[in-house]
Amino acid sequence: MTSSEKILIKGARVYDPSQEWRGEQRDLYVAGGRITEPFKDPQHTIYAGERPLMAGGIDPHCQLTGHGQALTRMFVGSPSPDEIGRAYARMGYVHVHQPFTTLLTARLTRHALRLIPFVDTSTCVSIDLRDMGQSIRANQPADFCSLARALIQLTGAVGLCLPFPYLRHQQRHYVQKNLSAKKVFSFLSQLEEPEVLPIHLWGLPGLLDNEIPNPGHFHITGLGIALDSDAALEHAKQFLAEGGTADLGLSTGQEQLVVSADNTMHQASLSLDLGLQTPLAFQTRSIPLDHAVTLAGWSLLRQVSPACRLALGASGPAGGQFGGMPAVGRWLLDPHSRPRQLLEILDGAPFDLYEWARRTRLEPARSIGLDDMGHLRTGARANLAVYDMQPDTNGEETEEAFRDCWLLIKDGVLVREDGAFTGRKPPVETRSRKLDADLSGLTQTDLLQNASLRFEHLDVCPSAEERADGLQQRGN
Amino acid sequence: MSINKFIKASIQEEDQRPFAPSPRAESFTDFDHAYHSMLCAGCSCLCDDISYYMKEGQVTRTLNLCEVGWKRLCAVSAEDRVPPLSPSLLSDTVNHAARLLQAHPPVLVLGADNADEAAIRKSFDLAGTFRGISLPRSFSGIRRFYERARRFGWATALLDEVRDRAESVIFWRADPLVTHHRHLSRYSLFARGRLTERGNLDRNLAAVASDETVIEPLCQQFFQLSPDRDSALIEALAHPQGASGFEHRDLPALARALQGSSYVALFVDPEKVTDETLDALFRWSAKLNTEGRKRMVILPLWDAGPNIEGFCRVSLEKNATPWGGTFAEASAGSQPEETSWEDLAGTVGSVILISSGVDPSLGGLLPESLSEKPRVVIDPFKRTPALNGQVVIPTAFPGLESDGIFFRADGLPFDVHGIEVWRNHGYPTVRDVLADLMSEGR
Repeated sequence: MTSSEKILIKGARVYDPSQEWRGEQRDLYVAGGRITEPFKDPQHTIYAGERPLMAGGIDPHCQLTGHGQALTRMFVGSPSPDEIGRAYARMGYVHVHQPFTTLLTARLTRHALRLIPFVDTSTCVSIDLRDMGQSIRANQPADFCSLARALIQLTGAVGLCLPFPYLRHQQRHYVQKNLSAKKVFSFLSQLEEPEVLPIHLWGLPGLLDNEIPNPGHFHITGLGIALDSDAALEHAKQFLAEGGTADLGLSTGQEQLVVSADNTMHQASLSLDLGLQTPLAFQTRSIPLDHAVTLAGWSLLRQVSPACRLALGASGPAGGQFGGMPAVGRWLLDPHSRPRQLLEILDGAPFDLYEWARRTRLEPARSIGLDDMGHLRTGARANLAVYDMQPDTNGEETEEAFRDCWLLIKDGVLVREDGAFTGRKPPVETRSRKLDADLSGLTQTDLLQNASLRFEHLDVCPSAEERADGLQQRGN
Repeated sequence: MSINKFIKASIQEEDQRPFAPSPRAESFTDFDHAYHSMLCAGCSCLCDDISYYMKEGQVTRTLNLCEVGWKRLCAVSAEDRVPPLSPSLLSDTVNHAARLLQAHPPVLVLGADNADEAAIRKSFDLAGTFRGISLPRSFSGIRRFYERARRFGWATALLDEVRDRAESVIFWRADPLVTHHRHLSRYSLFARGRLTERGNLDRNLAAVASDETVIEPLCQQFFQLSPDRDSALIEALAHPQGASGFEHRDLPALARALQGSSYVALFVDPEKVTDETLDALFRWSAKLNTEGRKRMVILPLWDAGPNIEGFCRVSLEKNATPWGGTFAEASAGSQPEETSWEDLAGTVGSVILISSGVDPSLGGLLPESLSEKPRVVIDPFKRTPALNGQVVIPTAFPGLESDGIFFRADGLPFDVHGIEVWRNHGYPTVRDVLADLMSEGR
């Protein structure tokens, strides 16, 4: 349910790359939770005083919100759902994307996502090559797409994610089922079903060692961690130049939750078998500013052309850096405040609020498939943020402005005004891609042949959503 | 004893036993409603393949229901169940209860792990309102387990992964045939998985217990030990080449089985083991997993309320600890400093008891040190002398008379739906009662 309030925002410097708006002063009209054509009878008029206005931010890669979230809170002190939602709203964000869930944890992930207030959420469902490898071995794209559509529909996801582009069994008698990354990429690059594309690849170290044909079919989520060598950096640039899309988190050197695929357990960490071929390890780690991965990430942002479809994540390279985005904004927009490690790398980088709006709004929305978000065109959802900045704002003030947005409207609801929460909670939803898929094929997969879960209980049924929404309302 | 002999013996024993109390004699054809693929919230297995056949509001036949679920089902229509209160009487009772709690702060909400997730959340809100705490009955075990998980690191898994991969399964002072009847068939021993296609033929089963247990005949190795010898056994298993000094007939066989397994699942009831044993188990798991040659996952198997995992998740969300939280200043939650029921008895003034109902005697539900505290009892299954003189508020059975979200033993949430024809029995939900107490308490 969106707000029916009619709001006029006057005198903002508006940035919207989808319409080539580069900070010209404009008035924006909001009614029925959408951006509308001008009207004459606003119920509420906000004078923005030439502050910059852009669409609400979208984080395309946040590992704090998914399957291990509850347990990592105990292990590494990650924030609670309420703290996550509040922090994002403070920064002017309206949507958070969990990179992937497995079929088994889809309910758990959606359950965790629904607990987060203030922001919409989404996730992709992972392709398990143990289940769907048969279609690849037999080179049957139609079967694969049919199963993929069913998976997306069943789990309420917005797309597909391939955490591991290969299948390696340890047991000798299953090795004939193994699949090489080359074969997998070759198969996926020939898919022609737009409803399952792009396929999100998890940015693991070594990913870019593989040749990825037809990059336009793929999106690399969490690209930062995959930039583990100079060659990887070059491959990433090539991937983006040839039509691939990616999201990149930048490290600010602070300690962060790192989720990795790791068979070997590290001391005092959490290691979970969640239905993937490798356990996921959750641990906190500092990725210093002078670390090769950090420098490669900042370098990539500096070197790619503005036309490249690269989104900027708010949660750092591994998706678990909480609250580092304001510092990223400060360093990008104010050359004088950059730490010494980044001075040379970012030297002469032409980064402004227009570019910021593109990398943190438009591109993330496009990569997740959120057509009605990330821009300010008429009919878009009324998600917009205003920052307390003037052209001469710099240094610490820039960081503070990004940390505490001056105004946030989500779905037409005034969430923040004058740099403070209004006390109103906006509607939130876990977005999904609506498909009309045939689910019966799923029962033939290895997973559901031997399942201890019944098919119908994997389904994200409406009644569960309604009940969870009720829960959230009560929690509010 | 072979598995076949065990099954035969069990059937014979069942045949000789008197019939379990039944709401109605079982019939294969006499029903007017059938409900399939229902979830059972009798324990944290959350079996999701239950069928109920009903006639005139009574169950005439069930499929796949274990003894725990069956007892719970029978309790719904037990003749001596506390009847629902009329709206006015319910209001008066809640009012009376709220006054009693206000007069004896702080309040301990005990046993929310027996209710659904909404009620667990409300139990924390209510604890905040009355400046009290919400704890599960097994809070000290939960605390000890998770403190060690945090200290040594924790490798764990979904039950589906155990079913798919585990080649060795060990029950360490946990007996699923007592607490989680279908655990063996659905997840841990007999279940056929992706890489364990022959079920129990692809697995080794071992157990450690103080006495003879129900699971013993199914085990390839069984260690009947006093708890103080656990550490020595773990040491011997963790270092099979070393001279540990621990000797047991089944030790070489288990060591060999573990040596040949790439995936080991260990289920432990933390309340039944010492701190030293927990330390040793986590160290052993960390050692194996750090070496990277094989994987060993530890899963707690609580003898607790069916939604104990839900309680831990909600508590983590609200207090950053899974064992419950205190609300000293009715503001932000924090973890309880008290580590025993005796400590708590010195702190709390009254108790809200959300009972599991399977064992209605208060002695089994309330620790001795708290037994003199004024209390409000929610969800009694049937009248017992122990309830005389208490404020009693009967509520609906979650998952039978009302819907709710329950978490399976590995933390996956499921919507447990009530049986349609039983929704109109007139009982309020636990959540509603807690909400009413909270608003009266304000």
